[in-house]
Amino acid sequence: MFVALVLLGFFGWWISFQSIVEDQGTSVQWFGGTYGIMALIGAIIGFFAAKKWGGYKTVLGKALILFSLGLLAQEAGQLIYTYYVYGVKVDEIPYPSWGDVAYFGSVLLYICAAALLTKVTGIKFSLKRVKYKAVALLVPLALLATSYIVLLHNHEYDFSKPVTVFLDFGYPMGQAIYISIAITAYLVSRKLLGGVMKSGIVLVILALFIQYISDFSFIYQNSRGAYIPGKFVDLIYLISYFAMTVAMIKFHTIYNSLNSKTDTSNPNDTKAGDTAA
Amino acid sequence: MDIYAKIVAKIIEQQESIIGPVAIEQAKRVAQLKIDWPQHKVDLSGDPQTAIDQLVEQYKELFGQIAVETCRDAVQTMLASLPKEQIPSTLK
Repeated sequence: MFVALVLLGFFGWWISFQSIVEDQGTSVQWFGGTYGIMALIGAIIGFFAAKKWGGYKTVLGKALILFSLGLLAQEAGQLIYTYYVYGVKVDEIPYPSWGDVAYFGSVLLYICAAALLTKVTGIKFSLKRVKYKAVALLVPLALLATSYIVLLHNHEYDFSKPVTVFLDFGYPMGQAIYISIAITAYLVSRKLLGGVMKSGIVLVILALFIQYISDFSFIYQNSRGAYIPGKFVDLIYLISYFAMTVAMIKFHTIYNSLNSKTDTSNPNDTKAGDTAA
Repeated sequence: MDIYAKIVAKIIEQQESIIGPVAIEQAKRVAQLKIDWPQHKVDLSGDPQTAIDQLVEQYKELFGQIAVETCRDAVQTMLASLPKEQIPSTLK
């Protein structure tokens, strides 16, 4: 409920300046610098959820930690860029910068988290079928090819700046990798995946998809000099952070609902079971 | 531990590696299982095949059919040593 109110608050704020967003006034600046707090909230919730599911000792715990770190890295990137633009007031944000350490870091974190998610969804069992092997091959290829064609085709690389070249290529390809892993995991295992965990897993995959849309949109607009802070791309980023936060909350509620079913008459309990936080 | 107790322990261990303490809590809901997990000790009462079927069903509540595949995969070496009619129905 609190998270939904935060989203509504930022959404209302976003709407309020759309008619004057081109002016890039104070309201837009403050919005750009603060909406990342949704990612911070999601990260905190995610860390608590991860602890309940065994933390770094379990596959699911590790996945939740990595998703949370990804959210944290997104917020760190937002804050660093905000500092460059409104703190130091640079004419042009350096590229690469410390903000890219955070943003590209989040891409790597999401790739690792998505890979762990495939273990939770038991993808290896579905991949025994030829049909799903084909899906596992074609979906990533299609997404990588699309990203390359739309975002990198005819891109001019400045090979005197190797880090820049690496990031120019790494951002769209890295983002395509994490989303193709997540989508493949869903497509391949959706018939076998069920139970109470399914909703949490599906929500995470949906959140990654929205994150990919926002990353793709940003790179597309930015490469054409068309990105304007405070417009739709930032709104999609806000929604993606919200979606991932909801996914983290879902894992909390799943744990709590399972815990509440543990009754004191459980034949294996000699003391009262743990109560949900 | 007999073979069925070992199967139970292996399944719980495998699920624990994925979801942690919840795996133990789910296993403790099976009335025919007496579990002392810090000692990794499992005792079965009644029909062991039924007990294992109920254990697998507990995990199926969490993950659906994937859980059945995962449980089967975890103990397939042990299942190979059992005659077909002694294999729990969920793991066939």
